Amino acid sequence: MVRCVKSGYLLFLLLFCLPLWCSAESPQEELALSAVFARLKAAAAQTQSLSSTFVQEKQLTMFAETLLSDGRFYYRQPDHLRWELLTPVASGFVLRGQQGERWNSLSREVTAFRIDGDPMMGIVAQQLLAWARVDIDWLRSRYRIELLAEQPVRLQLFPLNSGEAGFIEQLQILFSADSRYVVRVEMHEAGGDQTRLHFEQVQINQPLPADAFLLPEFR
Amino acid sequence: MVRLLVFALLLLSQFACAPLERPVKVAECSSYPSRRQLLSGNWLQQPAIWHLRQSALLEVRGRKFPLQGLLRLDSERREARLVAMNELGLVMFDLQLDEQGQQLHRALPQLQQQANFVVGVADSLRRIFLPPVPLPDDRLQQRPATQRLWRPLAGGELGFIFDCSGDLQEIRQLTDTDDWRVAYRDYKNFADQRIPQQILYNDYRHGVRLTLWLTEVKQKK
Repeated sequence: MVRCVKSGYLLFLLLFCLPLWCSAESPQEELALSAVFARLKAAAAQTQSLSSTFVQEKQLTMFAETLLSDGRFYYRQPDHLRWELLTPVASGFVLRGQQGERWNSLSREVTAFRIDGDPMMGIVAQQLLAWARVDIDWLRSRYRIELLAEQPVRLQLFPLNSGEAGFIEQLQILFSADSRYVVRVEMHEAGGDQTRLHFEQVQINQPLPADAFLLPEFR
Repeated sequence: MVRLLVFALLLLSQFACAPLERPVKVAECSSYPSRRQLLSGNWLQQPAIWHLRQSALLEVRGRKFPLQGLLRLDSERREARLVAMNELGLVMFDLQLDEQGQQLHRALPQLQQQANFVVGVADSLRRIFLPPVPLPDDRLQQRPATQRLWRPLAGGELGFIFDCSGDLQEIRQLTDTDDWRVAYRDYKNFADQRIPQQILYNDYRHGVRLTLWLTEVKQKK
């Protein structure tokens, strides 16, 4: 019985503590990560607004399919977003603080939402805001972060929340050479699927269209 | 309380009487496809594997859920699998179904708590893509602009409406227990098949409505 308890304890240590021990960063790595975070924060502090186009590449392993979409993205400090898919179906959402609207040009539907009342939209909006703001503190509160490369900065993020970890295995974020914005996000899902977002034609602190955070006129 | 009840009844009557967005074509048929052509022309009855990329709007008792997804339809094995994604491309749920039931392979934690949502999606997809099919001994009824194959069911009937060219326009089941309709619209030619680009499903009894737009169609070997 005692032997059984002992071996159970050993198994527990192996299963749960060994991975933690293995993933612990060395002081040198921690130092490098801190320096990178400081650099990213300093660069992000200069960003008032941002616009880009993006390509969304979805790999569905089960279907052996890659789905392509493209769109455009606007951000204005502190909490305004526009995420708009232009193909294959014009759709997207705008966010102004806590509230926003989604639209779809095929259904011609507009749905108002609040991110504190719509958890699904909350997840999407929080991710996009974190990437646009380069909100390292928010990211660190949600993910264990490893530094994959220093120049350009490439981070690997592992969800701390078990619910999210059951869905997303890890994210990889690649920054521009000057560390001012995100160039690519890779989301590796638990089922083996991947989503890659490539941000292109990025402009920082340039005037945004007057209607950047308003609904499109498709109705 | 009475005001609330009146409002609920009004809402219910909206669903019960909701017309289809677009009426069936009204041009009269100069000739009618044969019964054999009606039975053999339906793409859902041809053995094939389809990958259907779609944009969808699911409405459950007035709540709206916009979705993007890819549906794999195996019309020979009568199975379908839908992977639905959010705006970022992340999988929201992965649902497999056949005529008997469904299996949720994965779902965002927020959706796992909404069992009715998954059942609503599965029932809708089953009736759209794995529906009951017209049979050789169904009764044939000719109307000026359509033909209808139908058969009696316990407590009601099941009907299939075809347009002048033989495209399936509508499936309607009304019995003591079921009251639903699927409308197939905007047919286009694809790989020797006629595929509808828009599909509307209404379950009047449960207040569920699903509208699908097929944005990409691929036939797999």
